[in-house]
Amino acid sequence: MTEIDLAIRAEVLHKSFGGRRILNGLSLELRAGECLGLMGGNGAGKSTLLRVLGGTMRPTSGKIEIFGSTLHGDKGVRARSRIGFLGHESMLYRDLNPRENLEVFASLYRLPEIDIRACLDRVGLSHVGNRPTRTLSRGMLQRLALARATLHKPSILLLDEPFTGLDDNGASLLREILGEHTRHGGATLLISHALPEVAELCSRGVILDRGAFACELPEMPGVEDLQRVYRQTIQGRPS
Amino acid sequence: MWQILRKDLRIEWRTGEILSSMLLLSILITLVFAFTLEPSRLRGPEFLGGLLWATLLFSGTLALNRSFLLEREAGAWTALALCPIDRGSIYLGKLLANLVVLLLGAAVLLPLMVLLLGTRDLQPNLLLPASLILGLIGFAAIGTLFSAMASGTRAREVLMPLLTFPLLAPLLIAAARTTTAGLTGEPLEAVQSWLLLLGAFDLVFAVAGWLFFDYVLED
Repeated sequence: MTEIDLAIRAEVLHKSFGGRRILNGLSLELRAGECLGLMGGNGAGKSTLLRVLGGTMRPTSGKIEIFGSTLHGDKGVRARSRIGFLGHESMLYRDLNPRENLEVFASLYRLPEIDIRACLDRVGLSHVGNRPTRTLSRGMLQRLALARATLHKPSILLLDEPFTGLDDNGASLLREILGEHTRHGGATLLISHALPEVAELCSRGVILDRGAFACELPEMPGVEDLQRVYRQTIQGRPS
Repeated sequence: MWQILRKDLRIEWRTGEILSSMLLLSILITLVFAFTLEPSRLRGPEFLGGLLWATLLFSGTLALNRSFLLEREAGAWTALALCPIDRGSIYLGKLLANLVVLLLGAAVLLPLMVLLLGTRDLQPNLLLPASLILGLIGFAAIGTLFSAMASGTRAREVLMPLLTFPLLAPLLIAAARTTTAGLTGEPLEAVQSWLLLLGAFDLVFAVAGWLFFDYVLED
């Protein structure tokens, strides 16, 4: 495997908040064209790991490289340009409309030629492009957040419960976008509590428990096997 | 930087939240001064500089506090941190947006104070705009940085003044002194050292904010 194939390389990541360890020496590699499912109970450290890998939170110690470039600090500009992040929140401005929101982020990503209308069309929101974002439903916000996260056609998608709030059409659209992303050699790290989604979309998986990988699945099993492994890993731990 | 400035001004133009709350508090403070202080003392321009800066300190803190709440709402802060741009330029964009709002607030507040306090014998000169601009640049530089730091905490409304007021003390003294000189028609030579202090203060804190904002943004 060359450096170029390696979308994410994280080495011995630690993250603590006020003496409480959230990530406990995690190392992870994610290749281009791969979708990794990140599972675990509440408070296992999944969202923290995603934020650290996205460059929005500095690890207490450890090293992260995105396609061979360092991530944190001002030297991380190149690395950040390759990441698309969809988190718990929409990460949008409620007092701007969807079109203006995408225009702001397009200018920050230096995408002057981008067709905002086409971006809104892609997620089925062109009819509400001029409506204040604060009036959009949860599902519409999630669609708009998806448009924001994929605006710059990132090589890596970091997704934290991306199906939350989406209706059937929205979920199909997200599956379609993820499939296209993977086919074009994009890497994906997906956090989800819905194991059927993880089994369907991911090529391998890891189960996180108390800030460390409790189980690594080099190949994704079927849903029932995944549910069994998950239960054994989470319930089998000493309390 | 310009994208952040444009975005913030567009939101403020649409909602008017920051400027309106700043002006409302300013009017209330001015009315308190007008009703509690001896009217004959207020009519002289000597007190106006100090009163103006005391009012700007409180109402401006309110405005600056609000500035980063905009980014915290719905997590836009994270989206900004993800953008492939120099993070210092985000700070400079926010600083400029806050400066525009503070300058607009001061431009409305000064004539309003003159009117409400019945100030007479004003002899304004160019020191007045110079002192306001230099003073507000320093105020915005410190306020923007500490507003960003405090915005992620629960006690942000308390933390922001606690952190900024001690640092702002020299700036406020210099700004009040030069503003008074600008209102009473004193020559530049009389307050040259105060103006230099304001300029140095602005430079130091704007550069510090630009340099350290990367650490503030990655919480």
